[in-house]
Amino acid sequence: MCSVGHSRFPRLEKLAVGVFVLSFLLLTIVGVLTTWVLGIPLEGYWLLTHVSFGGIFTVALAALVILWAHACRLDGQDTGKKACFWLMTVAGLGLILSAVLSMFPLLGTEGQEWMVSAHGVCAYLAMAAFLGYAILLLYDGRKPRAEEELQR
Amino acid sequence: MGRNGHRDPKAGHSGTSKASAPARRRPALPTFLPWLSICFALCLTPVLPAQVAPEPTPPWDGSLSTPVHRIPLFDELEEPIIPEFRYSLPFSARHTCGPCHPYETISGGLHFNSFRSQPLEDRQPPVDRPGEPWFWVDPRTGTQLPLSYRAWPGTWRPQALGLTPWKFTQLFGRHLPGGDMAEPEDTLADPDSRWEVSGKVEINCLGCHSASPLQDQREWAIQMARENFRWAATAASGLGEVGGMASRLPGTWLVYDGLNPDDTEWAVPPFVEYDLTQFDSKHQAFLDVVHEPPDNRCLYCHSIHFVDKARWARQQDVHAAAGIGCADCHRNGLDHQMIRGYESEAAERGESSRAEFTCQGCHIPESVEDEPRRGRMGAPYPAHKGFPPIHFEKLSCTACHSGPWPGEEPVRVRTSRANRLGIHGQARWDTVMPQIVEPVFAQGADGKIAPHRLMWPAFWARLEGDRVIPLSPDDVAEKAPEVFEAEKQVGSVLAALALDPDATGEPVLVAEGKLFRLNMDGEVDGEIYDRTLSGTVWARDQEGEVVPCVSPFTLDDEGMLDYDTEGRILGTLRALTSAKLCESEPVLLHKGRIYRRTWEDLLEGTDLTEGQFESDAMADEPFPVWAWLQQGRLAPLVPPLVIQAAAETDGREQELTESQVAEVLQILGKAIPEEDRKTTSFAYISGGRLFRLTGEGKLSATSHSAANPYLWPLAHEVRPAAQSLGIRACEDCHSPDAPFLFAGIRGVGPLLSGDVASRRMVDFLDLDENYQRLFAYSFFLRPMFKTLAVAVSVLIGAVLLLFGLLGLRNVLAFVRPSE
Repeated sequence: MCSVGHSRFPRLEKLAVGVFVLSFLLLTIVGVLTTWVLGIPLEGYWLLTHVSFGGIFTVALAALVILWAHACRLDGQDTGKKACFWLMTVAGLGLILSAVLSMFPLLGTEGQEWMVSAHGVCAYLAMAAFLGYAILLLYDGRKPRAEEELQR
Repeated sequence: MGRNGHRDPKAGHSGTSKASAPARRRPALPTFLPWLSICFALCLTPVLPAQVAPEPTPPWDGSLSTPVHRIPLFDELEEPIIPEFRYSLPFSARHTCGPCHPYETISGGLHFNSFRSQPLEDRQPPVDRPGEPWFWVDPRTGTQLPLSYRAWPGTWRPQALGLTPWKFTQLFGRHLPGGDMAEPEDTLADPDSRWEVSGKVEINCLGCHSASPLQDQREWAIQMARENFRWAATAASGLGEVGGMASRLPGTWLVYDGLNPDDTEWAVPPFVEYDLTQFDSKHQAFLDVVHEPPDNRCLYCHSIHFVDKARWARQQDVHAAAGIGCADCHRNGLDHQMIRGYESEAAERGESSRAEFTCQGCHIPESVEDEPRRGRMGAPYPAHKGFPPIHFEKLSCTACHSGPWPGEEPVRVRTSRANRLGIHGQARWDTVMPQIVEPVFAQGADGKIAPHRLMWPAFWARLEGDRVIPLSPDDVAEKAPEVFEAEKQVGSVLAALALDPDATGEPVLVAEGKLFRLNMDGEVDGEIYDRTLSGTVWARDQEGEVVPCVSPFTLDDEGMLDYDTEGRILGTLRALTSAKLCESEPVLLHKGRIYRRTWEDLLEGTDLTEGQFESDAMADEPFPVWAWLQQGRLAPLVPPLVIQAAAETDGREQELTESQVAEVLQILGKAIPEEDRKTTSFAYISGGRLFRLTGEGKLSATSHSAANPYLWPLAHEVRPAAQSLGIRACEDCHSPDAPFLFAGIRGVGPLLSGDVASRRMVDFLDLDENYQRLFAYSFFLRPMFKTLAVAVSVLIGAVLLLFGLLGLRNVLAFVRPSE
């Protein structure tokens, strides 16, 4: 099952999931708040916060991938959540690469601008994966009650 | 049919000839009409030339070659110049160049329009981006005041300080291009002006467009200093020699008066003797003019000198090193609206073509309709690898590429117009003041960070409430002449003592632990003195031994002086009298007696009466004391305050001490009526601080907006790309001790004081210093972050690859044919 409680290191798993969720939410809030709500560029203390939690997100994502990759392999069961997991993995990798490659003297101005755009696209994909997984998790959470009620 | 068998065109379509019809005749004109027309034309001839519009200048025919300018010269009366004529006037650019190059159009150009284009009201916005102003520098009063007609924030309008166009031209004519305020339309508006004597300063076309090696702008500066305004361009061009001095002529002199046969030595009117070898048989002169001015012409007014760097060690602008001249970028049309080259100029002026001559226009041009635009004038295209695009929104190109590499403190520079550079010769015109530093990174008018030059203003002012009104340095010097120019006051006394033919040894002054000697500038040079003499002693250096001018003496039993002593005293008094340093009489005080020189040139001694001396210290001096006697009261030769100031400022570039400032403020304050003293006072501004007297008469310093420094953007010298900020690492700017953000800038000025303003670069950048430090510290973690991110990426990538391959295996297993 592609969810909490199915790995060999449950405490580590819970920690990784908690840190991942927290960091991702904060990163999303900062990004969305500045870009959509306030209409200001991501700079100043907003940028510092975003970059700081980006590092935490990186570690948490890596931990989650290692812990859940096997459980989340596509085998015809729980396909939805597994798909969200892999989408988040790919998008997360894109987020990390688009951020860190900009820090090396590799890309010129056009490349840098492309990286910023790619970071945004990956962010949208990650948000979609996160939301999808959350909805499916909620749906799965409600499902046993419905079945219980039918059996009564 | 017509003649020769051709059809008569007048025959008509019917085929019939109309030749048989009666011919139509033009009506006969009255016979008197032509004569009337001729008379009418003759009557109007004197009037017509003034009413007929001048012929338009023929447009450029497209040829890229420069026409050879072998042309007749015309003077301001539009008369052709005959070079052999003894009383020729200087040539006039308006009437020589103007017939082909419309003078009025050119006179609206950037170099010539500050006076005409100035905002009429003080509150109107400035005309364009701030630039280098004119600096009214008066070392005597410690004044360095930025002036501009263009109303740039932080500058003062010349008229606010009583500077008329005449006075402005007198002050700055050395580096004026002509025209503008120096060619006023109304020459009678200022009763103190002498435009009728000196002439107006026309636009000096050759000052920019002459390629002749004879073009000498130093000569321009000299003629302008002599107030030979209408002759300056001729002298500078090398077409002729100009003599005489308009400044010595009476105000009633006119150019038609010519030379004065009775005075051929002093008040000689300006005259010009043309170099006949530069004229042909038709009195045409060859002017070696070029379309694009050579760099040398621009550099006369626009040179920058790094004070601590020798000329040979100076790094040239990368564009100049590549062979690009000033005029290759700073172009203009006939209107002479030169391109300044800053990024927002095109938008401000509504001329998109100006954008092509900015940094971006050459190096990162935008393609137009899929037409490639890179590589203009061989400009390399910068990749800016690893440079986040946010920097292009926050920084101008010059922030990373121009000016000296930022150090712990900005470096001292001097500019042509501010510090009077480029006037070569035996005499030194260049000045230390104003003190200018660069680079100072600040937000420009367009909101982008750019490097600037900075100058702390220094001036005397009247305070009305919180409002600061600058005072003319001439007015201040006039009110307190005895307080200023400490070194010169001491030097003038030493120069007077040197006039004593019977005295041996060099006159010196021992005071404040120093020994002062007279130098060639009429001021003094000090050296440490720690020998026998103490106090303030006017002495003589006799082959290394310093002895007072008059050693302590006693009277004999008959109350008489010995012959040698009497001779020395008389000789010194004679020398001080003949120098005419002031209206007072020089005397000598010693042991309760005062010695004076009588009208018979004899020495007379009388007893001192009580209250006759201003300072008790004078009576207590162990050595004979020289003093001035005026209206029964005694005063030292040079006030102690001034001697102290001379000692403190000796060897320094500061001109004033706090004691002098307090003394001057007291003198100025006495002129304020009693009822106004609560709201009006005087102050002195220097080093970013405003100094004023407290109620107890002490000097106190505060901050004030009028004391803020004036900044103007710089663009040169451009460093090579390998020397741009950030080329090594982000830490060039983003580190806790990066000069770009945290360099210190201390106030400097003519006042010797420890109370000066102290700023950091972030103060001018309008940035949060705490955030910038925090952000800078984050760069310590950056390498770690990058390593972690790369490692994580590799790990995630490996997992994706592994499970991707596993998934691929399943796909292949699914599609394999069943056994």
